[in-house]
Amino acid sequence: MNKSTNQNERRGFLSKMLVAGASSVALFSSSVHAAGRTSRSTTTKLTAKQKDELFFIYQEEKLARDVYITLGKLYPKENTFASIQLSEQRHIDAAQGLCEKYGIDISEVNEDEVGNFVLPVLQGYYDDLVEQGSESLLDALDVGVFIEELDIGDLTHAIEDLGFPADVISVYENLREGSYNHLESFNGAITIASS
Amino acid sequence: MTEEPSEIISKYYHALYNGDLSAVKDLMTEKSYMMTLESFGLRLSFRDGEFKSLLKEIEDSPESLEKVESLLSQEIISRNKAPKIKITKCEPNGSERETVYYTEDGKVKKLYFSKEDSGWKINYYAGRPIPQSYFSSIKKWLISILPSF
Repeated sequence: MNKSTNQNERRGFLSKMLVAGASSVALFSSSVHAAGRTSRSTTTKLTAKQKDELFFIYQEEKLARDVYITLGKLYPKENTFASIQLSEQRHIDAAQGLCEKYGIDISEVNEDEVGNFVLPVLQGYYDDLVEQGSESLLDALDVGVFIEELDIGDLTHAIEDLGFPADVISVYENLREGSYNHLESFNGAITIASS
Repeated sequence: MTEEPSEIISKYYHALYNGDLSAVKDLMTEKSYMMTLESFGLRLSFRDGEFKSLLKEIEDSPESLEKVESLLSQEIISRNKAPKIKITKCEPNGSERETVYYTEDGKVKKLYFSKEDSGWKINYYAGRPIPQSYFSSIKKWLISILPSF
């Protein structure tokens, strides 16, 4: 029942997004590209630590999307959340593609449950970020900046320090590029909202 | 004597909400501890730009880490929380990992543990399900049918 309601709400929000304007196309184009890369085959085996990281980043992308869905509902006139939320769904798909490719069991994570996380630390992040973003539109946009900076930091760590094979790095580089675009969008929206 | 994950959870919550971050640090892997500081420091970092800058440096600067621990410890104490923890289930995930299910003031939660040199530690990255080997699957099946003989 709840799951179905959530799905309907998400679909409604996503449909609304489709008319949000051409700017969103640029925002998620990089992540579409990222998702496409996951279909290549590879024989490389990942270490347990690398697999843990893939699993974590998959869920971190869900965190970003879920926070934007929730804040987008609070501030429906602010299109930035709607457009970036759609892009984050592509990021989740790309990260999920990597997990599947490397045999990581993600069955425990229910993507349709917005605001519900397997990892307690991500649940803590979600709760606090939504609480903070509920204060005002500017606070909500600041939350967006925080999330994108967090993503960029973690993706950079994964790209540079963990010895991933080229296909994983390629996807993560595209996700990071998408996060830089999101960051720019949030900073632009802050400038507009502050003026 | 090595403490079991279920015992560590109670210690973790007690230490955390008493602001005893050095005790919290001992119960977690280093990476998870840093993430805990970042997560719990979120509220303060939105209110205090200086704290936000310090929080970004904790992995590279011991001085920033020390300041963050001190400021955050006071902030957590001021929350005045003492959640009731009730362990509901402990589930092995391979031989070196365990998931503990529990409630925090009635809210369902879980924490992951990994077996380190110094014993069980809270490890946020240890949640990935570990595929069971053929041998351990057979062993589990044998154990499950033993009482029927």
